Amino acid sequence: MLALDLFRYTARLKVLTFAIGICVAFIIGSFAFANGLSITVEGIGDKFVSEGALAYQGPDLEASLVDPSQLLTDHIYASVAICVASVNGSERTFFAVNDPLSTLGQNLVPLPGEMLSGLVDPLSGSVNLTTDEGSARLFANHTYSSTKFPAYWNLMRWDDLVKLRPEMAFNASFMIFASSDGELLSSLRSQGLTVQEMTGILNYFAAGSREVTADLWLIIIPSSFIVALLVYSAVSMEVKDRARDIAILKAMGSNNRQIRGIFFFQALMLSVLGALVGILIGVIVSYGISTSSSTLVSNSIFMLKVTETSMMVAFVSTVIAGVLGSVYPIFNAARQTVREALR
Amino acid sequence: MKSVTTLLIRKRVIVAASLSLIIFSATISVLIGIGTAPGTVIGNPDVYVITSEDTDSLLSSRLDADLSDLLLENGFVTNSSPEIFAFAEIGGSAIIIRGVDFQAFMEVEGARLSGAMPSNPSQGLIGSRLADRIHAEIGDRYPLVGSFSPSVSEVEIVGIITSSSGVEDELMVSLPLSRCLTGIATNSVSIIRVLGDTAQLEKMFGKDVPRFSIYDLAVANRILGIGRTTEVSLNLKNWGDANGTAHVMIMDMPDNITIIDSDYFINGSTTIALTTNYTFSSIGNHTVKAYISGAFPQNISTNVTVKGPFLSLVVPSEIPQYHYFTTIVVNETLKAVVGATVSIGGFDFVTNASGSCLINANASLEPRNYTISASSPGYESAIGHIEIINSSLLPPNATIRVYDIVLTPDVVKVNEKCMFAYYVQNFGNSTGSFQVSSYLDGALFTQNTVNLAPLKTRVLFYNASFSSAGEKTITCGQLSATLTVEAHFELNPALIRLLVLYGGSGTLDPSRAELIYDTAKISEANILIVLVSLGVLSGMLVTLGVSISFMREINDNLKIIGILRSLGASSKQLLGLMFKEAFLMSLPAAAVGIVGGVVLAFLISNTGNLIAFGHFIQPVFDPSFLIAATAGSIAICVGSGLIAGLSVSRKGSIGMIRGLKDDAVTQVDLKELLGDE
Repeated sequence: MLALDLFRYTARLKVLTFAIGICVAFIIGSFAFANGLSITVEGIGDKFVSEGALAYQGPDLEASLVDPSQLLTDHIYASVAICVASVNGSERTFFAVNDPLSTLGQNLVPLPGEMLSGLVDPLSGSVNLTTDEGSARLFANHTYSSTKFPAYWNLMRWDDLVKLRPEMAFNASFMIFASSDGELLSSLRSQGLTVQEMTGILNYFAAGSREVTADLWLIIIPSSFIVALLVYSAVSMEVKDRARDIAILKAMGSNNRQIRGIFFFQALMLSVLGALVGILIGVIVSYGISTSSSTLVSNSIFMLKVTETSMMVAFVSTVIAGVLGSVYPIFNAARQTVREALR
Repeated sequence: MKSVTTLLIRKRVIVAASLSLIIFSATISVLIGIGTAPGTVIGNPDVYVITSEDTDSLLSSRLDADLSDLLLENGFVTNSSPEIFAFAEIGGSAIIIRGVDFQAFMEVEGARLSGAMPSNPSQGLIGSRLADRIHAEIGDRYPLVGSFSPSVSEVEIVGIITSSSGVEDELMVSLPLSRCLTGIATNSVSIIRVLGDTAQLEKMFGKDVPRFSIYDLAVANRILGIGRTTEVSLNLKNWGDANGTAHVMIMDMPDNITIIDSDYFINGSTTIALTTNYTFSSIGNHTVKAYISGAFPQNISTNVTVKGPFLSLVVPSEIPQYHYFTTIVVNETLKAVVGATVSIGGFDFVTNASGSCLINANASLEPRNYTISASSPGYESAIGHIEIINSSLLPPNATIRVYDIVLTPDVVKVNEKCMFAYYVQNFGNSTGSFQVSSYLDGALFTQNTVNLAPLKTRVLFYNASFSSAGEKTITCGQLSATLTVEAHFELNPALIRLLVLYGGSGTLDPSRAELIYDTAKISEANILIVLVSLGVLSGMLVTLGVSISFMREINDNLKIIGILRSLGASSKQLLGLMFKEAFLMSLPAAAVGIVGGVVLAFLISNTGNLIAFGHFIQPVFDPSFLIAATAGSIAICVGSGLIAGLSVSRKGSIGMIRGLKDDAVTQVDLKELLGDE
């Protein structure tokens, strides 16, 4: 087999391996930060119990039409219909609730002929409501209060709302489920509904965590660039220092492919070793930062978590960058003639 | 111009160093951007943020919304925007929702609007960057759910705003909508952002002299009977660092009676409570005023109603003609009043030993609405209403419902007792039972089952007190009533509320806006540790890249170093030479690196993908970046040159001239080279 002893310059090997390791540690540490953030977010999520879900069809509540009779679910829910009607020239939102199982925990059905105003800008007396599809005349003598709906929405009976929006005779705008779980969410989505869990901050934190993780993929760019630069310089030096060896090999009949193979294998081994060392450094540094932050900062819940995925990403990106960085000097080495090399 | 020549390090190293420093500069810019991202919540640099004192996060910060108007009135601020924060996810993106008074918000923000200003509470504005991110357009509607507890609402986008601050990444909704999303009570907000003479405000926060304020002036009862003794209390705070004496006076107006008139010595940063018992001597509305003199005079007041004995009347809301009904007369302590006269339709009745009287709605009382009154010597009269209806309208079955809710009083102070009275009547012609359930702000409050004979009325009484101020809504069936729970103090002038309730000097501090990150318990210090760690790692990483380039240069010029060494150059001299050449190379490399880094960071930011928790991360190119990038780049180049120099400065001169390496300890064997065994 045609081969050069791989690592004749051991001091250089150690330095380069460590250098590549630092690059890999940079990637590992960054992803550990993102993973730790996800864990932090999950921890915060645990403090907020998700209380139910909102299900509707289409892009928004006003346009949504859901036929409750077609809904397949064992979970209890309240149906809500909304419409925007004109009152004395200004548009207001009205809603009606069908909640036979008391999902909402309060009676939200006005007496016949009456409506209940929200606490913001309440209506009073006899109110004429008109839409393109109908009209109604109701008395607004009282207000309602509910934490579930905006205080500027006005409450009416379902049959009154149907007068303003006839399509609501057999449909609802949206459903409010008393509790939610993964099974319910997937079941409703499979029935073509848009579903949101009713505690927005959970969704906010989960989305925020995903955004930070997406940002950190950019970390791979500088790290990989430096790895490529390191391997490029290392192989360049190696090629220069071993010019005589290359010349001898060529004189003995080695072709360019064999010469390239020798240095390619060397670059590959350097990258792999560096990546492994880097993963080790990354794990230790992440643990150190986690520990120091909890010591230095009161109320620190910051965790840096190294995952198999982040190790794999760091390893693969480093090896690819190393191989790419070695291409130019390797082809330079192969291009050298015996005469040039021995000069 | 004489060009700079170098002996050991060729100029081509500038290329590798520049490329590395481009990465370094861009990384530093982005890291500083991440560090300053929380500050984008406050908006422009001249905007000051007021949060409640000692708050841990924007979630827990609560201010009285009236404070915004009061700040405008005192003349120190020109614009004031009360705001509430909520959080949501739309289309997979984390969204910060800011509840605002749109007019005030636009004035403070100085933003440009494309589209229309919202004209009703269901309309909102969206930041242009967020609109791009979630592909939102004017006219789009977005369903929103409550941030912390279940609620449903929807916002219609009517305008897109462009600003230089973080609001570009936010959704602006009305304050009522944000209250639905957060559950924050009416008249409360999370923060208030102000523009104006904040220097004047900060000047008043000076702590090196005694500064006295009085607050929490309280009379234990808002309404009380004449002759009853009640407690009057006041807190006196020295919010300066120095000790001092304050003169405090408390008066009962309009009787002009002095309740307290004394000097009090207080240590710096200390609060003392002044308490005394007092008996109001006249019926009517009283104002209790507290005064403090000195460099910062102040007066605050609170109102008390002193009443004589009064009657309350319990009467059904409607009764069929030709039926008997009972009225009950009680006094202010809910005790039955014997011998009281009850008048209806010109007929008088007298209450018996249990305070009640039986009235026959006979032919003399034709069907219509009547006013019914109760009077008794020494008591303030009571008035009620009853409707006599046609007997044919009487339902055959039991028809029981709550027909009135009375709160006595309907405005109380924190921890002051309020009496809830639910008036229940059976409007049918059969006996039946009914469960009376009432809800306080949507949660079950009281529950009781009543049995009522035909046309009978019953009043359910409950007493309750509340530990927090705000409006409480009590619902029972379709009826609702609002109880206002006031804080135990009233302040005037309003500025004192700002000084005492909402701050020491730390309150007017833009950095408080960073609390949004505390929302996720990711404190500034935690963020700093990670950012510094990433910065240091980035620096090390680039140092390694540049070092290896220098090493390669020196490796190529090993013979020259060997010759210099053989001519007598010491290690120190060689290192000095390398230092000088590395420094010379670092200047153009740093210049190219910083410019390239700015371009690279700009390109990355233009992708619009650098987002964290709803806010766009804007790379920073300010003086702090220039200093960090320039110093870091030069240090990296020089450090790298020295690292490379150290690797060869102690090598033997002959070896270097011959091209031998110290660690090339094994002679290459031809057989080994060929792999020929």
